[in-house]
Amino acid sequence: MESILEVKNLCKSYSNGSVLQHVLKNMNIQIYKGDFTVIMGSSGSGKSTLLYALSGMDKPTVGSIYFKDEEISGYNNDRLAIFRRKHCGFVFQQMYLNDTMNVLDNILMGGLLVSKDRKQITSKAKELLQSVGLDETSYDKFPSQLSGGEAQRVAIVRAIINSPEIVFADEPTGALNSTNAVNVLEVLTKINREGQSIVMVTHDIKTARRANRILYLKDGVIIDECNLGQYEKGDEERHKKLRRFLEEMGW
Amino acid sequence: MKLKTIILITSLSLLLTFLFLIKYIDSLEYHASDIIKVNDIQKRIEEDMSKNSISYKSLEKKYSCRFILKSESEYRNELSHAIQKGNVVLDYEKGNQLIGKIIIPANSDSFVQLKQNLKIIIGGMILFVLIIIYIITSYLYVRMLRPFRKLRNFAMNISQGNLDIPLKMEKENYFGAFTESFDRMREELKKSRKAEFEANKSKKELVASLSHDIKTPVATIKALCEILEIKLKEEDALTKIGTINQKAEVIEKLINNLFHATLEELEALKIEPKEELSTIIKPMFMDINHYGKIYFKNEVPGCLIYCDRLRMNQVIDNIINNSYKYAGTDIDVSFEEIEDAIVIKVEDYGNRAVEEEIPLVFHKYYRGKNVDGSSGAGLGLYLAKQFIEGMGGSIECYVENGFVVILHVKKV
Repeated sequence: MESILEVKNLCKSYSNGSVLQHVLKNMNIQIYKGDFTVIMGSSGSGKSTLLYALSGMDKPTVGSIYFKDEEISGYNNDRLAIFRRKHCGFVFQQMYLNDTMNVLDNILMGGLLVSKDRKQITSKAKELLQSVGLDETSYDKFPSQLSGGEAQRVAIVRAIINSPEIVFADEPTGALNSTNAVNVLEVLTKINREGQSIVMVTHDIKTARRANRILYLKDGVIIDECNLGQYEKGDEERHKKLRRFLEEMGW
Repeated sequence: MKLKTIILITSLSLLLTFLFLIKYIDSLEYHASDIIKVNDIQKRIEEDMSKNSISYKSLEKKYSCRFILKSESEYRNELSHAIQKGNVVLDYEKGNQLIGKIIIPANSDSFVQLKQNLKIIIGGMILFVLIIIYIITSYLYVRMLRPFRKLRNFAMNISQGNLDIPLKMEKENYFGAFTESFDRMREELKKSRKAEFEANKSKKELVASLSHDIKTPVATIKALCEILEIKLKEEDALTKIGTINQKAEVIEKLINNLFHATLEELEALKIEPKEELSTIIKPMFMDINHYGKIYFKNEVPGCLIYCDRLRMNQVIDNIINNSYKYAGTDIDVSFEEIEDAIVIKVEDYGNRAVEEEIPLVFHKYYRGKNVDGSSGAGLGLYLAKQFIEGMGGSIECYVENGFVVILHVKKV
């Protein structure tokens, strides 16, 4: 399998007064192209820190991160911003939609940072909105008029408008009720089917079930991983295996 | 033990008393007769005789006595025999004339019976006394002596320095209150001993770390003096610089002595490896790069290592200072990352290290043949080995172009 992200000896430390606190410790991971990778672990285990380091939103203290063959860990902030804009899409628990813009503009704002072809971007945005189940009536709505699930789907469209190589999602269903969460997960599963690589952090087992690879984090170290790739979606075995795995990990 | 002997002696003496009493009772003989009964019998015999119709034989049967008449030939013999047996001999008179004697046998049957009963009673009483004694002593043993023995063992443990063994005592015990305070005494003793130990240790550690901290600036002073000695031309200034240098050397020696003396006492030095970033290693070399002779061939691979900063500093200090002392050449430092460790190679180009001495350099107090009056205690590499192994790493060395030290520092 082709690896899209590779991490070597990744460490992230925060200084806590005079004491350095090591959140990520000598981490070595490969993220494969086309995978739906989920990072799990108890609170404080370093899940989000890992996601931010992987996505270039935060710089590692030591260690190197390779995006394909490009080492991004040495980049300065500007180069990192360009890298993120070009190659990464982000979905957060809080959607961070711009409240003063309508749905379409919110999406175009992201798209026009990379491409100058407004017409093409607009049609792509409409197409994508269609595919996540939002019809024309929603184009002119403002974020405050959307339900949580709809807003998150808009955020997903914004994340994938530039056809990023990898989408990072930090608890995308954390703030949603279960129906909306399922809708959003369906969208994520769908874009993954279409070849989109996704790395997602969650502590919800239902969300984790969508992944085909689960990394379990404990005290800043990946202690084990679980592959669900061989099971069909909705297969009872898939759920059982995940549950067994999480039990072993002390979930 | 003592209690046992007491019980044994008591039981034995009681048994002996019992045996003696039995013997004594057996030896007793009964010689007295019931006078009233005898008189009564005599009276009745006389009454019966006066009726004159009864024969001697029937009288003998009736009163279980015997008549011997004077006229009988055996008279004297029988009489003395009867007296010997302790029987009562009465005169048998008719009118005022002595005809014979009436012999009434002493009632020995009931006496034998009495003796038997007496034996049983005495035996029973002695048995009873024995049982009472046993019960009392076992009670005493359980309630008093056993706790005392526990107490003794406890005190013994304390005197041997085992302060961890608690004294368990039942509350209803007579010594319950005492034992509790004894146990509290033990706890206090333990606490104060621990506190004393800690205080002592931290004092020594303070001295050890202080002397290490003083060493670095002194080394800088020395290095600067050496530079000034080359640069300065004036005679006056040169002598002064020389003095400064000499004094700095004295200070260094004193600190070394102090440091090693405390280390000696400390013996088991505390090594507390923590998760540290590997980037802290390079500054440790830079800190003692007084002569600018240390060259880095590459950068430290970034990762987390197990390392005690202070100890790591001392390890590097000792290695580099050895090189300064014995080689005095440039020092090359290179880093390499392997699966579970970072490898640090420190290499100098002095040709004075001797291959045969390599296996000995990590020994305590071992000093190579090349010391030539340079100061030191032969502890540097010994300590370096202790420290680095305490962090889960290892150290080895060999001779190449000079002396090479390889450090393995464990990764997290």
